[in-house]
Amino acid sequence: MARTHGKMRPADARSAAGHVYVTGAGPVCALGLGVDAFASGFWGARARGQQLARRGGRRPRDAVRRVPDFDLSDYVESKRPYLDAHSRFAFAAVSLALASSSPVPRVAEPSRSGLALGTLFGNMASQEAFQRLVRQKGMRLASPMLFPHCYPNTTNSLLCIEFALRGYNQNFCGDSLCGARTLQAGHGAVRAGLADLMVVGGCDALTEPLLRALRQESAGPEAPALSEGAGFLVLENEHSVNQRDSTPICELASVVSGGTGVVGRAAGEHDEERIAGAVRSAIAGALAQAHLWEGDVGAVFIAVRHEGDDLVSRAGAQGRRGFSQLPTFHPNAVGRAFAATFPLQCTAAALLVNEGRLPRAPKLQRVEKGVELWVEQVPSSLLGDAALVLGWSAHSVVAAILKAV
Amino acid sequence: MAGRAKVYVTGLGAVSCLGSSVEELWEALLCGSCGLRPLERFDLEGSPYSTAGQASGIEPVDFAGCGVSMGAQFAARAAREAVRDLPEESRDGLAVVLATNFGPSEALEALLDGESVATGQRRLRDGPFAWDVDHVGDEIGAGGERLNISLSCSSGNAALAHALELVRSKRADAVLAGGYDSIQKVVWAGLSCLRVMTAGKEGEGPRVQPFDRNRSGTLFSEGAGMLLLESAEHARARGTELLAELAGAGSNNNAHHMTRADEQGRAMAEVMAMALRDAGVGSETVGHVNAHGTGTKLNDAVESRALKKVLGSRAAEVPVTSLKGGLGHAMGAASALEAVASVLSLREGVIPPTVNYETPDPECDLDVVSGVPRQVDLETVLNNSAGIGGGNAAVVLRKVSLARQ
Repeated sequence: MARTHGKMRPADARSAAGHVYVTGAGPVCALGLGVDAFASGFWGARARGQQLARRGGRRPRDAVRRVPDFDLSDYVESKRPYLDAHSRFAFAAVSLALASSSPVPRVAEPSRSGLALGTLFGNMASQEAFQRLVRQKGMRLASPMLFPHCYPNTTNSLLCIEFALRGYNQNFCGDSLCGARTLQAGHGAVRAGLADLMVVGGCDALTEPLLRALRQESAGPEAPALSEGAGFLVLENEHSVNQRDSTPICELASVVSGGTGVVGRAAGEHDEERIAGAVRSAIAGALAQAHLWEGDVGAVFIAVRHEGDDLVSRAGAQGRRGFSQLPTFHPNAVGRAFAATFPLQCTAAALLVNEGRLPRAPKLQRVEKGVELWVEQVPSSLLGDAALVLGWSAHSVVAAILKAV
Repeated sequence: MAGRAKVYVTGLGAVSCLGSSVEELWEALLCGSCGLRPLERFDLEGSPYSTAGQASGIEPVDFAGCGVSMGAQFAARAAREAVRDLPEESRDGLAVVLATNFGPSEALEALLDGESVATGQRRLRDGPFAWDVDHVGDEIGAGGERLNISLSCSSGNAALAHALELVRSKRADAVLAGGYDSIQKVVWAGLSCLRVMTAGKEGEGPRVQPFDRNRSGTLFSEGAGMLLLESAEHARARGTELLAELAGAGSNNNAHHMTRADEQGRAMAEVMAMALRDAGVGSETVGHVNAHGTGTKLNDAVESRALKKVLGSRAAEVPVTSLKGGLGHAMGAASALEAVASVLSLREGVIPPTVNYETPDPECDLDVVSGVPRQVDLETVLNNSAGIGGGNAAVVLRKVSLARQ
């Protein structure tokens, strides 16, 4: 990974009071494990996706993109043979994130170092195993070893134990924005002085019952492939950066969320405008919190649903229309990785603003019709030094801005 | 802290084994009633335990019959009570932050059994936990953002912590926050094998005896506790009564062991200190502690140690109560119900007794309120909670007359 900006000098640190820096990233997804594999896969997949689109190709409807097999002992020293895939992904991702953040891949002050984790499904494999055991053998023989691994915050707790994260803690488990909530919680905790370092991110693993159920649901032909993985970032304040000798990749300048005003299912034109308005409002809020203006944004990363012509997708596209001429990165490369999608898109955004240029500059044609407006030429350099990461649902919106240090 | 927006509690809602309204709950708590009875919801064959607190005054419908988890039905009932005085026109921006241990456990059971779980508008890819918060949000017409938190038995306080931040940071003017859970068969099998429940002594039924020398374990229950939080401006504009100030909150993790408490109570003490610091008050202001007090041998001793660290020489003087003797351990709803009671203690100047507290324990040498309610003029209440996996969360509530100064 290129690091174009060196360690902060004391003068920089003083002037940067209150800033929240992204110092490490741990992507674990179908593209590979670690920043280098991720970056290579991300930009490569983008180019491949464009070629496919130019030929009018479509991915198979039942395509699933799995995390490649890996040995957890390559990432953590403690023996953890009992972990399910969900926890294994998260362990590898947090280990990678901390290792990439500092020459000393551990936290300096456990009570000032926290964790915020997001997951839609939690430890499904452990739940399934426990449920099967109860059904087969009855309550009396239910396993006291397995049940503690079935809670939605199991992985969160295991990570805290493994990496000595005794500080501020949150565990989100709602919709696909729950990964985004972790950035918001981490950013807020560091800014409020509740923590010096926060590990934030999301994780979800596909199991067979889950896959079967998900395949029963219809998805738009443009929907990204079902996927899985974990994406974690290390956020630090200046004190922690200097204490751990970390190197900022970029600054997490703002994370802003809001409601859309929609009650029940978004069903009509009125709701479409409500959602679009909420997206516009979140973007404006994120820019204001970051003390930036629209022209500072050089790229947009879309972190959640993109299912073609449905109302919620259309509304989101309308809401960000002011940025339609910028390079826009849909989550096609990482796939629909649920809680991991937003943090993984943030990882790509962080790398992009750190580089200050697009790793590849493919000449794009207008590859998609309708509401998703794509530019025909992507500049080789970013026009602004910040990236906007955006996610929304029928009810909530989250916008984050990462900018170069 | 100076300059930070104040956040007020303006509505309360409760569903528990002691009744399905705040009034019923409070009356039962002051009477020292116990809502724990033989569990009748499902076949208990194979379970060594059979006593629990089923929600009373509400007839929940099976998930298969309505597509809404039982826990979400409890949450919706409590939510309606909490927002009953909030006009419809004030609900456009009302955010919802719900927390739970097991939330949609029936949906997950059905999913793992291979049954179709998508219900109407709610699709699996939106996340099963999101179904619960969407149900509650739709029931009360909340148009603000919606999210779920799961931090085991500290969930309720963790939801309040996040909601507090939402209002402080002006991302919402009003937030409905709280916790909920229901007792389901597979969950019961898991809770049974944790060996934290009491089977009672020979010849007498099981009792929860928090902080008592003869305590032998906890008993689980279900329900929901909800609090409506508003900014000062929002509450003032609609002329509503301010019940208490939610002044501070903290959330962390022991980073010690998945199921065993840290015997020193270090992180638990730290989370209470974090909440007090966040509230901008010292421990000398704490007039009452609504403790987690599960009635298990180790946890009550650990909580006592943690309280001594936080309160110092005042530890033996500050009245402490645990509601779990009568209310049972309501899991994700526990600390939210305890927060409801804490608000009422502040308002009415009375602390409910710790049911079944009979014999002082030298390891828990606190001023445990027992027998009858205690009249005390309170300014600040500390509500503490903890959960499996090492999660801790605490909130500080203050009397409004002082908060306004």
